[in-house]
Amino acid sequence: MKDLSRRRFLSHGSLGLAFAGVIALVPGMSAAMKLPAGASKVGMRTAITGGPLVAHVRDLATGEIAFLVGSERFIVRDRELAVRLHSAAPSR
Amino acid sequence: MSSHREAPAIAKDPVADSTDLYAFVSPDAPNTVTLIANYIPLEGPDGGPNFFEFGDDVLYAIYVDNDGDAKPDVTYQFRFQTQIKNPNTFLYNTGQISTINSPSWNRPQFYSVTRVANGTATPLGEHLACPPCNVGPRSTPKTAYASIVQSAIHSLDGGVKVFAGQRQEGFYVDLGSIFDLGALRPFEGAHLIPLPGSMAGVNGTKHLNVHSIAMQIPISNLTKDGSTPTDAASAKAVLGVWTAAYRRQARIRNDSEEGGDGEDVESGPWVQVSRLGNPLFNEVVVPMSKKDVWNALPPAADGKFLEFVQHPELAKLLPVLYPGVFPKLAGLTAVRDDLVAILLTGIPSGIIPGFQNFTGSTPADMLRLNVAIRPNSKPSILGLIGGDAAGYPNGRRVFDDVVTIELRAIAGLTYQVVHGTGVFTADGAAGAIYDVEDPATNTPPVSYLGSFPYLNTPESGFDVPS
Repeated sequence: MKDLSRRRFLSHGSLGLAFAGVIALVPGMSAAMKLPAGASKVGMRTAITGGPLVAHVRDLATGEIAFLVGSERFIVRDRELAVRLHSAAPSR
Repeated sequence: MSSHREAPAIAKDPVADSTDLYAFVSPDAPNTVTLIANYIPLEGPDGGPNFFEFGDDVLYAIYVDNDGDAKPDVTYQFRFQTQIKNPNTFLYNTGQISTINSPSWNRPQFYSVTRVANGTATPLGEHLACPPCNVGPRSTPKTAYASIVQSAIHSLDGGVKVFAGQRQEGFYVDLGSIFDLGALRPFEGAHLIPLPGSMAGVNGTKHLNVHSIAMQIPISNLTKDGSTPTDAASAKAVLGVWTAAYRRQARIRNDSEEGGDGEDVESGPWVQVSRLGNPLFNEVVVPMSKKDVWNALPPAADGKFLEFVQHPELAKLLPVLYPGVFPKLAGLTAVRDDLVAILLTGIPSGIIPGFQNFTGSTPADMLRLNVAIRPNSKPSILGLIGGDAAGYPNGRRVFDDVVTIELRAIAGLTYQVVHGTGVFTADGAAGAIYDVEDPATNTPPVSYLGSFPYLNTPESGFDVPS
């Protein structure tokens, strides 16, 4: 799938909703991350009621993340976001 | 087995495990094709209290390729939904199930059918009822069950019939013997590790059930130009057919200790976990290490597995397992283009007079059905090698003895047919071996119905205890 820059990813409507879903599903995530402009509170509610979203950080080095929502999969490469998602998980 | 538990991963996921696929011109409705995709292997009829059912979390599909590119042109998708009528009982049924809508049936299952063609998805049916499993004479009395099954045959728009539910296993194989180092009971004495004498073959799937998704579809709904071909030599008369099952890419188990609602979370695209075209393809042609990968790929990718058809492992094993019985097969090192034709491309014109089911050079495991060949009123269970062009590998009928057909083909019989005896003469055993019952009797060890859905009433749990 076509790569998306973080800015483009966040400004894309549906992906913005997906991003909001991540925040909603990962406890403490919203505090750990700055909400992007594309992820309004309205969008967040839509994402929550629209079903779960799963983010899979497939490669921390390249920042490749798969977002699974509904029957769709979005692949983005955003190393900064990948690192922040990874950092949000408590260290083992 | 045909495709029951044929790969390591899917063997652990029975509801998504395709076991057999059938495609034939309906003998009692010859302007239609019957497609049957079976799932859930080796169902013990007494497997209660949670009797077998389709997966609500599985997407089932039957594909038809009508232009020879091994890609779907017409797809039928099936999604299931199970209800619990009485949440306060452990029982499958709280009384006799006398009708398909019986309030006593606590766990009815329903399904939708969607046809996809030319990029357009068209719902054909919603909330279609499945029949219950055949529990026993108190829960599902014989007469009532037959009536329920009739109620579960649904007529859809366009002259399509559909049925989804439990059926008696129609595939027969000597399961216990064949996987004991390739033993064939009738030829025990000739095996590398001989047992005394010979024994009658045993149908290892006798008294077991499966779950069938069966459709009867006008041929004109499936062909590229909407015609009902009558010229068997025409490319447009050949349909490629396969089935596949899918699960969502992600599944997160519910954790009740974290306050979960009891439901697992699923998300992401559908991912293929099971596939079936020709019987025994993934089972005995594809090596163990590649079986799970094969299940995840479409037929158009089968070029990756071409070498295993060209030089099948089983053809090398037979002369070793039966010393001195297959000397000519042992010397046959050429590419098995006969098997490539049967399994991956179809048989071109000019090999067998009046017959072809060639779909082009793209190697793809599909059943290939020439719909212009009419049903045979006196069929041979050996299909094409028995002189009956209406049978396997021209599609597959429910009674075809596919194990014997494929054993004989791999043993060199079809190489001789393709190349002539001037090039290769098969060992005598290649035309004599069989698995369960001597096909010379032309009597399958299973009985079938004469009309849709052709597979017989499932075995009753009460009557067939383990």
